[in-house]
Amino acid sequence: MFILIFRTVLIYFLTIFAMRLMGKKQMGELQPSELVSAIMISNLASISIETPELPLLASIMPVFLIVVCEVFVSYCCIRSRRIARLVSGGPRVVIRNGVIDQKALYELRFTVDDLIEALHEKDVFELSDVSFAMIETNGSLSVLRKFDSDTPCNRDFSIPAPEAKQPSLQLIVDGHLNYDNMRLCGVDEKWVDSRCRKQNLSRSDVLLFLCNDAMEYSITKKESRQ
Amino acid sequence: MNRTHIAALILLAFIAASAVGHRIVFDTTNQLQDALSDIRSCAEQADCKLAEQKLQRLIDAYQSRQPALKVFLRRDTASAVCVNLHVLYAYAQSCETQELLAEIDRLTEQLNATEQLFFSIL
Repeated sequence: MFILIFRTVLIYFLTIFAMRLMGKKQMGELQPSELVSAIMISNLASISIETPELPLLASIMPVFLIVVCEVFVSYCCIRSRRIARLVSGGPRVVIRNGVIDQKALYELRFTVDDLIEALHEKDVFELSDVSFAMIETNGSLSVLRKFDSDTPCNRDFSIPAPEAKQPSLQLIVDGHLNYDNMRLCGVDEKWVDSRCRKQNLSRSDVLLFLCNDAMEYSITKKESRQ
Repeated sequence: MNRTHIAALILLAFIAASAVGHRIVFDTTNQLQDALSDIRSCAEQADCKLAEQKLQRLIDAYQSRQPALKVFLRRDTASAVCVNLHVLYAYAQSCETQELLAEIDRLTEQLNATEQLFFSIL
């Protein structure tokens, strides 16, 4: 029983390490090779927990070998467009100027229902509103609306740009300073502490301190935990 | 050190571990096969005493290697060999040469199957 507890905990942390090694991309939309490796790793990890007769090395090795393969494949994809096309394929246009490319849809084995559902998820309910729509390599649909039906932006109304050029960055999170973000905002510890003191707070009382490069800041105080 | 370097290091570590495992399993199975042929000769000459002594030494040698073997082989496979060696020892003690020879053949096949499991690609 003790062995089961030990193996489960160890394999759990090793699987987390393996997924971290593969990187953030793995957590988002998955490419085909990434989906395969995620499925295989989860299966292998559960097999090694369920089978105590298997040596731990024989359980861990396939998991990390898949990670190694995934890292090398992604490295090769970065270095070579041809390999990237071979591994992940390429995007396919399925709608041009409101007209469905039925041949492309058929080759992708996408049904019309799938296409309509994907359009609805992008808040598109009229085919005539679509200028271009393409299926990406991870299976998601990207849509470019026609000018007439597109959402207007600030430029269309000649709204002047704000002073801040970058978004608000976290300077304090749960009482801890983020020195990298402080450097990006061009502030130092003294400035941060002085702003906290203005609201009668010490650094450890702050849940979130956000600031942009125009020195506009906001502070969220920690609530008392009971 | 980026992810690619870490992945390369992990791959090298596993290749090294496989080489070590290969060495340990290969040496152990070879040693067992050689010792079993020796014991077979003793059994054919009905020299049960000598067979018994050789088996005792073989059991001791195998038990000392068993922890290392269990890192690379399934636990039940590694333990089964030890159990069969004890069975051989019992037959040698009671001088049942026919059963001893049959068990030696069985254990030899078992060792061949273990080697196949560990070394074969297909």
